[in-house]
Amino acid sequence: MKSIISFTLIIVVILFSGCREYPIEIPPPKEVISNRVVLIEELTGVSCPNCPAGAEKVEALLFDYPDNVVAVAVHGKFLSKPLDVSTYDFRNQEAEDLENSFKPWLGKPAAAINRVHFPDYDFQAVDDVDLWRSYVEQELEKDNELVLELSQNFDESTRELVITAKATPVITESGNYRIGVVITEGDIVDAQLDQGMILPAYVHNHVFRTMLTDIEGDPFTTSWTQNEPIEQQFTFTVPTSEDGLWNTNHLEVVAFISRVDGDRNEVMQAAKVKVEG
Amino acid sequence: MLFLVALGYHQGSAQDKGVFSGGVEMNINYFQRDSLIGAIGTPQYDSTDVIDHYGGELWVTLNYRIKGWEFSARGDVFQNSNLRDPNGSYSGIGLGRLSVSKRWDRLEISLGHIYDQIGSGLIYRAWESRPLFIDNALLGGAIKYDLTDYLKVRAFAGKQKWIFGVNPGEISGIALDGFFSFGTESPLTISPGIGFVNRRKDQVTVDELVDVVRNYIGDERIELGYNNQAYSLYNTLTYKNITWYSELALKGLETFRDPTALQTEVTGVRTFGKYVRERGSVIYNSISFARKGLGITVEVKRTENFNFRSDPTLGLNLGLINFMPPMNRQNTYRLTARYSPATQDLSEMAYQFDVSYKFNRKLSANVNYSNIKTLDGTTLYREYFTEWVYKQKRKWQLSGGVQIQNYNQEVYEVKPEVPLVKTITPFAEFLYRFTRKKSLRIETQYMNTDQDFGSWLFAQVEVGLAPHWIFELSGMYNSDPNENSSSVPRDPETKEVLNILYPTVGVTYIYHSNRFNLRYVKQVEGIVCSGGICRLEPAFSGVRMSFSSTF
Repeated sequence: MKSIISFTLIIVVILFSGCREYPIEIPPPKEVISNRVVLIEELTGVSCPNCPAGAEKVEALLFDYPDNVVAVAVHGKFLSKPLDVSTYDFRNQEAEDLENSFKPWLGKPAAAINRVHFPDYDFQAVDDVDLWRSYVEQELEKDNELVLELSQNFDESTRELVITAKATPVITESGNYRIGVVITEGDIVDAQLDQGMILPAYVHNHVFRTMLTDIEGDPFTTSWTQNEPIEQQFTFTVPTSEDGLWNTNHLEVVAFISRVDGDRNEVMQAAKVKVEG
Repeated sequence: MLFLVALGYHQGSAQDKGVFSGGVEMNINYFQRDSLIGAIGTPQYDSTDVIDHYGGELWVTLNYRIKGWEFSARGDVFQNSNLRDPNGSYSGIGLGRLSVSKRWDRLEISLGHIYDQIGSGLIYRAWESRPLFIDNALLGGAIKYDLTDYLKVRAFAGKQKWIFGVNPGEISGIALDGFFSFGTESPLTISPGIGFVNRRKDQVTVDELVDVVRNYIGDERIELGYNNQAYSLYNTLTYKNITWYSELALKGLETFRDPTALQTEVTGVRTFGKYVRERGSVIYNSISFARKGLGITVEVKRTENFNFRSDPTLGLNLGLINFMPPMNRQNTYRLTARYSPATQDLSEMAYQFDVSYKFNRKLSANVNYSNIKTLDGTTLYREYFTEWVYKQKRKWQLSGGVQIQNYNQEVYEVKPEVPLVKTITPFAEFLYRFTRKKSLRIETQYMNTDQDFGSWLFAQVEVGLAPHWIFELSGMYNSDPNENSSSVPRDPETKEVLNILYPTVGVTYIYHSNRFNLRYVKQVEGIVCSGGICRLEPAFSGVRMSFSSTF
């Protein structure tokens, strides 16, 4: 009996003496210097209670990397149904198709970052908002492979928008490359769920409005020669809308070039330009 | 493994052939798209390729025991399965379990995938729940040693299994379990225990957390560490008709994600959800009293910051190291089980009373009350339940009662802006045995509620032709759909809410230990729970076939 008591006491002392662990030193925030521009396609919705937090993560990234991040807020189908007090319905078939193209994902908000399926994450669309920044910074730390310049010419009278994408490679390579062009709209004031509350005057930014190419992008080129630019033009007539959407003062063009490699279609470079008359 | 089995069999064949056992469990689903009830939006419903409308799972378990050796292997197959993600599709095939253990007198050593728990599981439980896609076996080694006949110690170390691989981080632990009787004449026995678990994060997880926390501003920055410890003291005291189980679990400073904590972004905006570093605790007590015809159980549990995962960045039901016992009645009828609370690991104060009394050989009753709140007093769940059972010898049996529930759907199903669901559900069941082999069972429930989908009526008829056949026909009818719910099916043109009937027709064939079940099912979205761990399942429409066998 004595040995049992002794043994028990020893165990208790060992277990409850505790282990002191020296904390890990937390470095200051990263400041990545890069020529790359990373595309964030954020899967969101006005009925999604956690999505304002996701949108704010995107804004924080745009704040820290204003020239290196472009964002598209995809209001597809899941949790995207307008609220009873909503003025607008951001859903459309293209947004739904784009959202579906990233499946599976476990919930919203989720984000595809440069359309990369990161090896340490189960899904291409990352539904852990805390990881977005580190994945964006991982992408920024990669070598830049091309410069993408985007220009636009908008005729207010005809509402015709001409977009020119000029890609200048810094590599020489053959393969299968695509271009994607998206029109987004910002500064839209409308209702949004935030946890258990409805925010009636929430400002929606980067809202996906339409895509001028296939959601996977259109074929662009099959080879790059260093410093030899390739250009492509897109023409789009901006619709008129009585409900206040398609406000040409708040439109932005987002474009990206991607490399198709088997199932992968990772973005090499992205760019954005404001629509201005 | 096959070599070891072959070796064991070869050795055994000369003297002892050992014992071979196993089991098979298979599910096959055919998904039939039904946009009216919301059975859409998943690959199984939406694919244009008809083969994608089929999905299923298969588990084949083989065990072999000889001369103190025990070998176990399990093959898992998932094909277009919606178990991992109810809204997605998953395919995979591999070894779900491979283990070997050997006992020498007082010593037992195990290697491979090991299932075990400490106490009631508050600090450690490696377990499997197939309906929830949980298989938290420890892939590693364990040693058990009987210090005496009444005092046993065990230790284990390894990584937590995740599908066919492992989750990040290492888990190790030790537990000491005793049993003491105070003399042969004494009615008092105690079974005390003490446990300790350490979880060490891997470098990738730590780097991920560092990348997140480094962007926290000012006071919101937290410290990070590699290790986290949880301790548990537990005891079962038995005195005459009273059994008292008590457990105190403590968790050291640990980083976990608190969805209610506010984080300040660099833009100045504050958003919900951030990592915090807090200590945690759980106190759990369960006292039972049993006397002839009378059983009383009282349970109390207080939980604070006890999120304990193999990797703190995991959410939902992923990476759980421990298990929290549920604090509500585990209901079985379709409508009384429709709203079931998942245990809350960050903030919960729960208690439950259960009284059963048998008046005589014919009449018995059960009354249950459970109440679950957050630590700041927000009502999460409350249930009053009573059931009366009258047995007329072996010829027939009638039971009935009523359940009254309050259910915080906003918390449990993460549905914003929805009110507390309040239900009143009377129910009845009648079982009649025509002969020893032929029986008829009829059950019906009516759930009255103004929230969620609105009121429901459920009825089921089951004909049993023992020992082989069971036929079932049931219907769940949305008798008074809630006009204000966005979930209730509506007429596509008029947008009026619809009274939808969700029918089920099924047949079960049983032969020895083999069970075959085929059902045509239309099922509304709802909560699926296993021991207090729950998830929201979308609506289902189609055919379900299952087969299980043990040998």
